[in-house]
Amino acid sequence: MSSTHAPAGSSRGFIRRYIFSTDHKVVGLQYLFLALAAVTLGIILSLLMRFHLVWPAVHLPFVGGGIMTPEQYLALVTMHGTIMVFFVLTTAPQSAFGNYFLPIQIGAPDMAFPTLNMLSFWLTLAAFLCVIAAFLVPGGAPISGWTAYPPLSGLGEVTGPGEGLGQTLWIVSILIFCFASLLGALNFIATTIDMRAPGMTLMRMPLTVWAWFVTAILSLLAFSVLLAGGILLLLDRSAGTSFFLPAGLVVNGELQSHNGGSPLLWQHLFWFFGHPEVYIAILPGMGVVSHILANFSRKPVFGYRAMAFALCAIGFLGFLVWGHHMFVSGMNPYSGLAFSVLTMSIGVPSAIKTFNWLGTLWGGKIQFQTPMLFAIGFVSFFVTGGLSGIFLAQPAVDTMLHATYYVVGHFHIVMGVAAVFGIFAATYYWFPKMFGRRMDERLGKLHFWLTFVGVYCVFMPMHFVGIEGGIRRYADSTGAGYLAALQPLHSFMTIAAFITASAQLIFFYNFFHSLKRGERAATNPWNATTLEWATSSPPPLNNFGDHFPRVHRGPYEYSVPGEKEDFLPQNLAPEGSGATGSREIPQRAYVTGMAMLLSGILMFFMALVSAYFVRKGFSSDWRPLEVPRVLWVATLILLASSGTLVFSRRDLLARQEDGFRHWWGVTAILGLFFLAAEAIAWRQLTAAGVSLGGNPSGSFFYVFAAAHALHLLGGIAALLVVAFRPTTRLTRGTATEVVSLYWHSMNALWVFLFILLLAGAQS
Amino acid sequence: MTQKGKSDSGSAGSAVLLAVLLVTLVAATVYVFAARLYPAPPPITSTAVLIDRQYDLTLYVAGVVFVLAQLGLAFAVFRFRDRGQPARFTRGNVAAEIIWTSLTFLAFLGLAIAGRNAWAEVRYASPAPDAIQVEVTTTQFVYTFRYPGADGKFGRLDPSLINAPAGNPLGLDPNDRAGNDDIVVPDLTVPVNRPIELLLRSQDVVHNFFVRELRLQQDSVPGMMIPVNFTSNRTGRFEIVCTQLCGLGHSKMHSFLDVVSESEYEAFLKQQAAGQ
Repeated sequence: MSSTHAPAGSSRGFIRRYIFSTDHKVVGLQYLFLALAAVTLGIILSLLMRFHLVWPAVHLPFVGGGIMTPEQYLALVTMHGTIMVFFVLTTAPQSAFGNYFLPIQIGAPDMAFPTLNMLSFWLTLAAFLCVIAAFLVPGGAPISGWTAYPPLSGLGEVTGPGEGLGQTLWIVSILIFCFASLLGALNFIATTIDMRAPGMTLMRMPLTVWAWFVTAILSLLAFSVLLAGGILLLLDRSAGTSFFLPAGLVVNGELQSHNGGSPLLWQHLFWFFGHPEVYIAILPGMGVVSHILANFSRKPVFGYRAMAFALCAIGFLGFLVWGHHMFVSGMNPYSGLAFSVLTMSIGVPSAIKTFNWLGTLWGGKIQFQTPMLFAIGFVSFFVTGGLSGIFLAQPAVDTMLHATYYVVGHFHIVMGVAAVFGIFAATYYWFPKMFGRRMDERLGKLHFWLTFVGVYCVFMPMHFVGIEGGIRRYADSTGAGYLAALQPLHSFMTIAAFITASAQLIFFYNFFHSLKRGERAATNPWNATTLEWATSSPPPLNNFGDHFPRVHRGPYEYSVPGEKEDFLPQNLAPEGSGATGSREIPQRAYVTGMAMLLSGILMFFMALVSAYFVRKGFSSDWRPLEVPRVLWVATLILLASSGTLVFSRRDLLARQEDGFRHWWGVTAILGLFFLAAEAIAWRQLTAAGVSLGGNPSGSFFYVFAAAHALHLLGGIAALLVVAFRPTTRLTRGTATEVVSLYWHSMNALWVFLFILLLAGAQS
Repeated sequence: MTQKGKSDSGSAGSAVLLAVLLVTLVAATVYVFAARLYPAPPPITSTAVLIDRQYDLTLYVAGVVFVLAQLGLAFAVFRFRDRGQPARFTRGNVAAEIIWTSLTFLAFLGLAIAGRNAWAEVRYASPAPDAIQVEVTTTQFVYTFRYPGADGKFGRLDPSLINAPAGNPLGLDPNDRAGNDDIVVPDLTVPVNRPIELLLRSQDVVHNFFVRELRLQQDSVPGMMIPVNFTSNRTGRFEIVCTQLCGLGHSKMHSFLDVVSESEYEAFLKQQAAGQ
């Protein structure tokens, strides 16, 4: 985005090059600037909170009314958490730096699906604007925390200010964000699997690529579940359903009309997403740290295979531990033991990574430029934050620490500090490559020292506040008497917070000033080995111009004995040339992308199915639903459409153009007939008095049917697009293969849902 | 960036400063924890003592790892700062990896196993048959405690009858005789050395019941009745706080646990019965 960038051979206008661009580098920078804006807002919100906790009686001019009310404080809590977790920690490490550098580090010209990539960014921006709008509507922003537990979040304005339109906007924003993340994730996965340069085996990928890859898989599977949960919460609020809202609720003297829902169901769905989410926030930082530690120690990463394995292990185990957020929630205490053991197990790959970082430094020739300082800082904070986690991982100890400031200290040190240090390290490291200029080294170092000391001063005392019983999300200390004694610690933290936040101005100044006036950067200022340093700063439009690299060695060949230089670039060929010409997007990438999309869709429906079983077992208001007979006909129609699609592909492969078109069209028409049959079933049920909000089995029928029907509609649209539009990047063979995969999967999904509904009709 | 063999003269300053800061971090942290500058209040049940022991054990293990890791980091960055030396090329050390991974695994598994009892005692075990039952109802933003009274039975509750301003905060059904002697109070009074079973329920949103000295914390969830139990071995007045975000009055929602002698408890029950 700097004025020095002159994309080779591009005649596109300003709008196509910098605004609605499909170039992954531009998309990555757009995400980066969004994250910078979000973190600025997030820090301001937190400073308002810290100020209020220590000087609650001081008039704040821009807070409506002057003195901050408890609900305003809670709105700050909610929005600070939401903005930081989603629009900073999920956006900067993965969407910003991952988008920019994943294709380059694997020697690809762009992401597998550039247009989808652009769409992901604009959806993310829309989500950001939507959540900010919550500040501006009547009632203000929601007060239920970033965790939005119902019934507080599920009943509307009656539970508190901000719970009306503000909470609705929050949920809608999250749903949009889920879509954006899913689309981004499948892009990352298909690109990593199918677009690596010749010679770039999995075991020669930089650890940054490993981290972005594993993180993308986590995103794909976790955000699908949040999407399902968020939709159900929206329905509870506005459609009279009772997924999360039990009977007999009396709020403010008003009896609510809901029936039989389970508040714990929301917690399970949310945390099933929520725990992988925090690994999504930290894993890319771990990759960047490994990458930088090797570069500036002039040694390979210690135990590269173990590091790659540990990333995968953390990712996998991250899906099995969500219950440690729910030890005192009222869930079965035996599951507490299970979740505890699994949570402690995550400590093992985390420890492997820490030891290997130390091992990378050990025996090195360590140089302390700013990126390296932040990478070293990351290790210190990850150790501190990780260790405080093992207290919370044990339910007995968690009983005294849950929901205290101890938890707030823990997650701020791992997410608010370590992950952010990863972002800083990445920024200082890759700034020269992205903008062709260097950030000022002295200002960078000053920024580091002030921040390193500052954040320890802000967040370490939180542990002590928590141990002594200071409770989180408290707007003031006027309730229980013992809280007053904790004020001195709060004062210390607030002053430290203001000083540390001020120090970040150095970073912002350095960043924006260097964009225009920084010293010009060389191609490889850090004498690094990976492919991004083999191209110009900034890279040309297709990343490598005419000379696409071929990879000859692993990513961290530093100080190899017997070599002249202390680093060997990955693409440096033994003979000398190494160029392989330009690279297209392989057709198989589209199949990978579709397989990933289907995985995400499957997770979404599995979340709904889990909700079905939990809700069914939770309360006694479940009445079996008679499945309309017409759905048997509908199912047969859908199965027939799979048959016709098979005929169509067979004819295409046999070059029978007419046969292909004929059967392809019949498939689409059968799809429409299915939807018509389903509409009839829908009418029959509503006529029989089965409403969305009445009987929970009815609620689930309508939700399953509608969700599946929308996906099928998408499939019909895809059939029509393939029939009428000439394809550009996809061959017709690939397009039909990909659409067939989707169609058959949606049909199999319907059969599964239909069997589920039939089984439910018996009990 | 320096070439092989040449030294980075800027390294020494950063290396020293990093090492000094890390050592300071370790010293300050160890001091604050070892000196117990911000302790939790003394435990008043035997289970709370078990929990404290598990906390201490975890603190020792975490403390040792913290000290070794941070000091290891400090040493590494200082010792191996660029002084012109070549880096020692190595891809790793499988034996070392296996050893420290196994040690970590054993340490964490050991902690998990050691903590089993403290959790099991509170959560798996049923209370003694002579436990005193008290129902705890949470609403925005008060606690209401209900004793079954002389008949030992709780009266029926009906949400549609809830009318706090009229003196019926729980919705007691006047037609159910079992509820006539129910004692409904805003604070929790219990006798010392007797098992107490609390039945947690909520009228509106998710709340929580937390007493630091009991080391006992449990969410109260609408639609559920969640039992917890404790036996206090010390008398006194202790604070009950809500830790689950429940709305704008969250930080003001608190009550008191009064642990009294057996005779004072009997007097309390008599006084409440007389007032009905």
